[in-house]
Amino acid sequence: MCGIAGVLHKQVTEEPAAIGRALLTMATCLQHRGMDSAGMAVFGGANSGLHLQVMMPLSRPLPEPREILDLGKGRLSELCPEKAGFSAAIRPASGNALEADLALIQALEAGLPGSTVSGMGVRMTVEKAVGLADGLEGSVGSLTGTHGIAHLRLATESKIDPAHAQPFWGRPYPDLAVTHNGHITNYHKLRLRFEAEGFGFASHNDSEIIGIYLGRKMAAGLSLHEALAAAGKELDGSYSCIVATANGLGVVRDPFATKPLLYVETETQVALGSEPQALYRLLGQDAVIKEIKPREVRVWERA
Amino acid sequence: MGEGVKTFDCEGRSTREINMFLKEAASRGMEAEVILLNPDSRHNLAVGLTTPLTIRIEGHVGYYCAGLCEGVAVDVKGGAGWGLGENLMAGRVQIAGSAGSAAGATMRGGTVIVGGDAGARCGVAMKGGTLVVGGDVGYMTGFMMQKGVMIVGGNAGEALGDSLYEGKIYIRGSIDALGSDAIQTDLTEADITLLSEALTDAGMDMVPADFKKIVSGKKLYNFDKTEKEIWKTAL
Repeated sequence: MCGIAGVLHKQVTEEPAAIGRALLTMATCLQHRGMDSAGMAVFGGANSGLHLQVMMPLSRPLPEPREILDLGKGRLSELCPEKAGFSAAIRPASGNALEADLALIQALEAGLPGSTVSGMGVRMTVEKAVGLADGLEGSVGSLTGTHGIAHLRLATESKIDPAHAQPFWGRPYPDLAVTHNGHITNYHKLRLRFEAEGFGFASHNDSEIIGIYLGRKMAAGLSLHEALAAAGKELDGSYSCIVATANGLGVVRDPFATKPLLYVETETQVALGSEPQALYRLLGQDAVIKEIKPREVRVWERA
Repeated sequence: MGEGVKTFDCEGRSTREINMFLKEAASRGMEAEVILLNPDSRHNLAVGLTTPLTIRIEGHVGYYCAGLCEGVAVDVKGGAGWGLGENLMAGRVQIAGSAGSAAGATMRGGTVIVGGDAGARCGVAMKGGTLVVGGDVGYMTGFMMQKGVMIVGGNAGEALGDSLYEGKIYIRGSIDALGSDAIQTDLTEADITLLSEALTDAGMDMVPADFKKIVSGKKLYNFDKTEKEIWKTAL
């Protein structure tokens, strides 16, 4: 199984919406679909400039700031310790951003044993932890913004640890995350191809390939809708996916559609979830629920 | 509320407690209606009841509602998730809203009525009974159907009636694509009568003559493995 959810406020309002709270509400309703780990990606206001997040094992003490800054070779600043790891501001790379960002991620993960760069972006915050969704209350509960996605994992392959939890960041592309229910059966083939191109992976979870796939397509000039349509043709296996970018949310479902995905669209917001109760709990029992159809691609971007 | 009507508030109760309450009510041979309040889309409500009981559910239900039942009358005043009335042996399961995938899957008897749309694999491997959907049905509806009647008021997705052996599918709207060995045939007087009765029973105001009838072409009955064309189209 696995549970996935997403929410988007369509219009620009003065007050940011309680996205973290909405995701936690839906995640609680979908908890039975996956109890191994939980995660959320929340897109807040464009306030902080480009930053990255690094998850560290709780058993390890945080390294000295100097050590981290040295690994960043002058690109990192404003280090900020978090519950399990740290975040840092990133200076824009001179030259090829893709190569420079890949090199930065690699340097950090190689230099800080057990660490995982879990996200990077101007607006995106990724939080994930082993255990139930309410374990994210402290880190996500108060996060506000415009949209976000959530995942409840039932691991059917690969390790259970924060690095293998979802949502997965489409590394190294900023402000891109994916939450996925299903399996990608041509994962190994695609991974070999992407690794040969220089892309790095944080886990051995097949779901991680999706964000990288989409990021790569969009970097080549495709729109989110086009990238998702390409994914629908090229990814094998069973998948219901929600992808979040800086501008909005998109979904894709495989032709057999054995993994559920429902949505409700109102004048002001869109909510997506694996099962109806998550949507009714968030938007009331009168919400009109629709299904994302097999092979369907759909994108909601903010006005 | 009339005499003999028993109401049960699901709020704060486990699914097992709710189903135990229903089982007990059924075992007492209660003629009266049982009402469930606040179902909150939870899964596995009213499953495995094999003695008659009339149940009204005031709200949405989740997966597998009224599955593995015989002789119940379940009326859901809302929508349902996957596997509605799965393997129903006898009785009547009716929902006002839409159903998820595999509504009426493997049902052997009785009637399942969906007021709104139904998802993919609706009535998959049906072995009897009547399944009525007011709205659209998803892809692979009626896959490997073996017996029974399916009535669809709206449109169907791809592979309608794929590899069906027996049984009849009546559909009013468009069909994205017929499945392997599913063919369209003419409505007979008997079909019109059947449709008229079933639609009236389901409370759906539709004209029987507007429906198309889909049945098995029976080419897959004697599968010839040397026949290349069959390999191309069969699953």
